Parts: sequence; structure tokens; C-alpha cells
Amino acid sequence: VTLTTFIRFVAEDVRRQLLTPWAAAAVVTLAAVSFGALLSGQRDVERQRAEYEALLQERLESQMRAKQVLWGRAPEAALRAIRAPSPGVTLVIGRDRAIPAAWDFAPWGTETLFTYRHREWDFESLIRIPGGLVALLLGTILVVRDRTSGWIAALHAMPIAAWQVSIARLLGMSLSVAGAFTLWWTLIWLSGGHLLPAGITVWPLLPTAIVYGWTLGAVGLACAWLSRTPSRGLLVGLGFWTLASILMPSVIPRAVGALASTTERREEERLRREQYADDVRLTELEVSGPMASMLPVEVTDPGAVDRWAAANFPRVERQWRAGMQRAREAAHASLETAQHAAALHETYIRYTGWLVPGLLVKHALAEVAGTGSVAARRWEHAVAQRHAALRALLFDDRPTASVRLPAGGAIQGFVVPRRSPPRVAEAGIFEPPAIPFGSAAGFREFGPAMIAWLIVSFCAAFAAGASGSRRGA
Amino acid sequence: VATIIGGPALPMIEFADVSATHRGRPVLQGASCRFPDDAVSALLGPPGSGRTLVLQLITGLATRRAGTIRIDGWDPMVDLREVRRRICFVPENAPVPPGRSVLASARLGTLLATGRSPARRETVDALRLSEVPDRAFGADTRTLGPFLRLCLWMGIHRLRGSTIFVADAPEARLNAQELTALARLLRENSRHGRSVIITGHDARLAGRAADLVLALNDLRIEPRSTARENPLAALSL
Repeated sequence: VTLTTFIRFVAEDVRRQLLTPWAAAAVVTLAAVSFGALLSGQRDVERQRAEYEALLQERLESQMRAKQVLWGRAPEAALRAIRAPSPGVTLVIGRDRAIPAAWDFAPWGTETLFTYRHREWDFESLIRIPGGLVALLLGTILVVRDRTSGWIAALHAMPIAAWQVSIARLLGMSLSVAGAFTLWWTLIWLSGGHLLPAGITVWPLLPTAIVYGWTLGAVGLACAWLSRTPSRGLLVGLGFWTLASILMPSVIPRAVGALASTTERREEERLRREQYADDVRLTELEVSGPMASMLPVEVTDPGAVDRWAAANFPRVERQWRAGMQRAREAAHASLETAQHAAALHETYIRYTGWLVPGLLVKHALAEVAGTGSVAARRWEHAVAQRHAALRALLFDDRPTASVRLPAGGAIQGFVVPRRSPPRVAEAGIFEPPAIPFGSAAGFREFGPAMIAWLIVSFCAAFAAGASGSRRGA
Repeated sequence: VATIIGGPALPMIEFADVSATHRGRPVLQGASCRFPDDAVSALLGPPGSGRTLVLQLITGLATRRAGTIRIDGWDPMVDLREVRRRICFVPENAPVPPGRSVLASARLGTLLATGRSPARRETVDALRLSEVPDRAFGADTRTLGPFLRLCLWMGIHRLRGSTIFVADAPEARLNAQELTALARLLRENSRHGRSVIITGHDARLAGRAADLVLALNDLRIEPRSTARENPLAALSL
């Protein structure tokens, strides 16, 4: 049998799989579900954003109308609340004058530097959950159906090798899965929808879907070996998926930890986990202390505050703003570096996570690669510490102008006396916590394990599936 | 333990002192037989006697423990491709590719066996010669009855150009009319240097079609007479 025969067989198999009513119904249903979920999620984000903006505008206006407004000393929660619901936005345009520039360091969004992506319906999820199930169940059902119909016995009596039949099945199934993904993504793209993360380039990832379908198809063959009816094949496939979902998140970190190159590295990893798993907490910034001792002031004309501050503290105010601008830029550079490192790790997880089935595997991989919840808490902790230092610096030592403007318009008095001039530089440059795995080091230690897992699982599943096919025949 | 003996000259398939087991149980012990050209051979025996195993030995789906098997001069354990290229094997119940049309199934079977996808016209002609009705060409194979499935397999046999047609228990679930038609088709397929081997546990089809009947039974071989004249069997057994 020539290569042409093999290719034609694969093409015929793809056509058969895609054109069966069951497969077509599954693809259409999943496409509809995915499409609906994406659209509803997108609408939900837009709606929340609009409601948020309206709420903030209303709150700001109400504060402007209120008798008591604390400019520059409002509790952080209130200041956080004026930020748009996107971690990429750190400054609300048009309100910078009203909001102290220091609050650009507020960790809204940066607190969820890594983990927000896992809560979104992204392309990996699209591949991982429905696509994985489709590949697994196709691999199981097709072989079981061939066996129950007896066709596999006739197939093995043809002058085509068993491995060619199995490879053709897997390749055809992988191409079918990739074709289904292409269809889904095209539907989403044509409808104007988008997937998160927004910057991801989807098309180069489609060949990876072939590998994913290939791997899970091999597992499906193994499941078919354990099954004699399609319904039992379904149960075995789903059971495998559930078991992998339960076991792999705990197995992967242990396996990778065991594969760590040095003893120091393992010790470091253990200490890191112990420290941050138990001690790190999501720090809620407190508004007690110096801020609580400030007296409330009444402001009916916000512009009067600026005019008064410009008239009375022009030099200090300019210095303060310039210093804060420098600190902001420095912090943004650090943040950008950290974001870049996190993006590298996310990419790393994205490319290696295909190979492992299971719902929670991605989270386990994120933990291994240093971008999981533990690292996120570590990040939050560092940001909160930095924020507390800034708060102490800015509010304890900043010459604050708070005025009371009664109905008559006359300034009644100052609340907080001037103290030492601002020393923004004392806060230093914000140093984001290091991410444990560098991308190159992570690949050196983690990549071979994943590749080994791929090869071993595929060989085992293929051998089991081929053996099962022959036994079925 | 069964022993197969007999068979005329010019054997297309020859067993010589073949021993084989099935799930650890010996089924054949020193079995020898010959299946001739231009003839329909029927291998009869009760369930579990090893009829299917003999066919699997012929097609290379099972391995023997001792002895020699020659298929047109080729050994199934050594020259598997050559053997399978010559044999069109139809398992019990005549399974066909699921989820395809009759035409597509015929073309797929030919493609897998020969590496050549036959033209539609050629496929249609072969199916018509095998008495597949035109209305069934586009039908899903899952809707076919046992007789039409066998007809489809004979169409594949024609398209492939294979010289040996081997069917395991083809008479199952066929009525008398279908048995007669199938016997006619089998005899047509056994001409021009071709050979047909069928198995069964009764003589309903063998009595209508077989030129040579071999009985496979525990520890003995019983020549069976058919309803029609059987000179080859009489000569060899």
C-alpha cells in the first residue's frame, strides 16, 4: 500500500468523521455553545463596564455635591473604585487632576496579574474542554463502533498494516478536531467576537490542536480497548477525563518537583510553597491610623481646593507631582517587566498545557511555572507592602491641604498642618517579586518532562489501542 | 483436535500438518487439506470446532504452531501482504464500513486493498454484477440486510481482482431465496481461476453451492455429500 493510499485513507476517514450526523451535531452544538458563551461573556463585560462607569460617575458627582470630600485622602477602596475594570488601565483619563497621581500605584488589576486570565473563556479552554472531549470520545467511539460492527476484523484482513490503520485513525481524528476548531474560530471571528487574552494569535495554535487531538485520540484508542460497546466507551472516556482532572493537578507539580535538577532547587521550591501557601494573605489596605485621625472637611467647590493649593503650596505641589511622575514611570517599568515575564510564562503554559488532559491541569501548570495562585498572592503581598509604604510616605509626611468651605464661601481653617516635604524617592523603585521559573529554565526542567509524558502516553496508548484492535478483530 | 485431509490437485490453498490453538485450546493438530481453484469449498463444523480459526490462519489473522500453509505459493506468516492481496476475507455477518454509502464502501474496500480508487462507472458495474440493486447504491451501509452486505463484498471482490473469496458463515440470517441467489453468486465467483471458501455449521448453503465439502469435527473428518453433484469431493475424499 503506497503513501497515496494512506493519504487517501486519512482523507476518507476525515470526511467520514466530519460528515457523520453525530460528529456534525456535536460540532454544531459545541460551536453554538461556545459562540453563545463568548457573546454573552462579551456583552456581560461591556454591560459591567458601562454600569461601572455610570456608577463611578454618579459616585463622583455625588461626592462633588456632598458636603464632605476628602481630596487625596479618601479611603483607598473608594479610589480603587474609580478605575476601569481592566488591569491594563491604571489611570482614568480626565480625572488625573482630581485624583492624586500617587494612586496610580494602587494595585487594582496588578493584584490579579496572573490569575485573571484563568477566569476567562480563552482559546485554550475552548480547545481543552470541548475539544479534548471531542477528540477523546471520537477516538473511543470510532474504534468501538468499528469493533461492534465487525468492520475492524475485515480491515485487519486487508493488505494494510494495523499501525497504518491506527495512525490513519489518529491523524484523521486530529485533523477533524482541528477542522472543528477552525470552524468555531471562524464563526467567532466572523461574528465580531473575540477570545481572551485579546492579544493571542490563534491561527498558529491550530496545529497544536492537531497534536492535542492526536494525544487524546491515542488515549481514546486505549479507552476503546477497555470498551466493547459505544456506551461503555463513552463512560470509559469520560471516566478517564475525570480521573485525569482529579489526579493530574497534584501529580504534575510533584513530578516536576521530583525532576528538579538540584537539591537546592527542590529545597527552594519547598520553602517557597510552604511560605506562601500558609502565610501570604490578600492584604486589605487599612484606612485606619494616620488617615483615620484626619478631620473631615467640607468642600462644596472642588476647584477651590486646587486654587487654594496652587496659591499656598505651588512649589511643593510641583515637586510632589514631578516626583510622583518619576516614581510612577519607574514603577511602570518594573510592572512592565513583570508583566512581560508573566506573559512568557503564560505562553509557556499555553504551549505545554495542550498535552495533558484534564480540567484543572492548566492551574497546576500555572503553579509549576510560577504564575499560579500562590505567585499571585505573593505579588499581591508585595504590591500591598509597597502601597502601604507609599501611603505612609504620602499621607504621613505630605503637606496636605484640606479646607472647609462653608456656605458663605469663606475658608474656615486647615485641618492638617504642614510637616516635612515629600520624599517620594525614599519609597524607592517598586521591585516586583521574582517569578520562580524563568522561561528558559522552566523549559529545561519542565519541557522534557512534558515531552516525555507525550511520548510515553502516546506509545502506551497506541500499543494498547492497537493490541485492543487486533484482539477485537 | 481436528484433522483436515483431502483436496484435489492444483491447490490454491494448501495446509500441511498444521497445528494451531485458540485461547490455549488445541483446535487443529496435524491438519492437512487443499482448497482447489475454480471451485467453491465449504468447511463445515459445529460451533467452536475451529472453522473461523482456519480462515484466520489463511488470512494471517492467526498464527499456527506447526505445519505449513501455502496460499498460491505464499506463506501467510512470511508474506502477509502478498497473501492478503489475493484474499478477500468477509468476516461473520459480513460487516461493512459503517457510516458510508454502498458506493463509497466499495471504493474504500478497493482502495485499502489495492491502493487504487476505482472510477464510479467501474464500481457501479461491479456492484450490478454482484446483484446490488441500483437503488441501494446511495444507501447507508447500516441499512443493508445480510444478503446485500454479502453482495457488496462480492462487488469489492470483483473490484479488487482478488483470486480467493473467503466468507465466514455467510448463510447466517438468509432465507431460502437469498441462499439460492448467494449460491449462484458464489459459483460465478469461483470461475476463471478463482476460488471460494465458505464456512458454516449446516449444509444449507454448502448443499447449494459447494463443489468440495470438508467437515471439521473433533478428531475426525467426515466427507459430506451435497445436493448437487460433487465430483471433486468424491475424487479427493
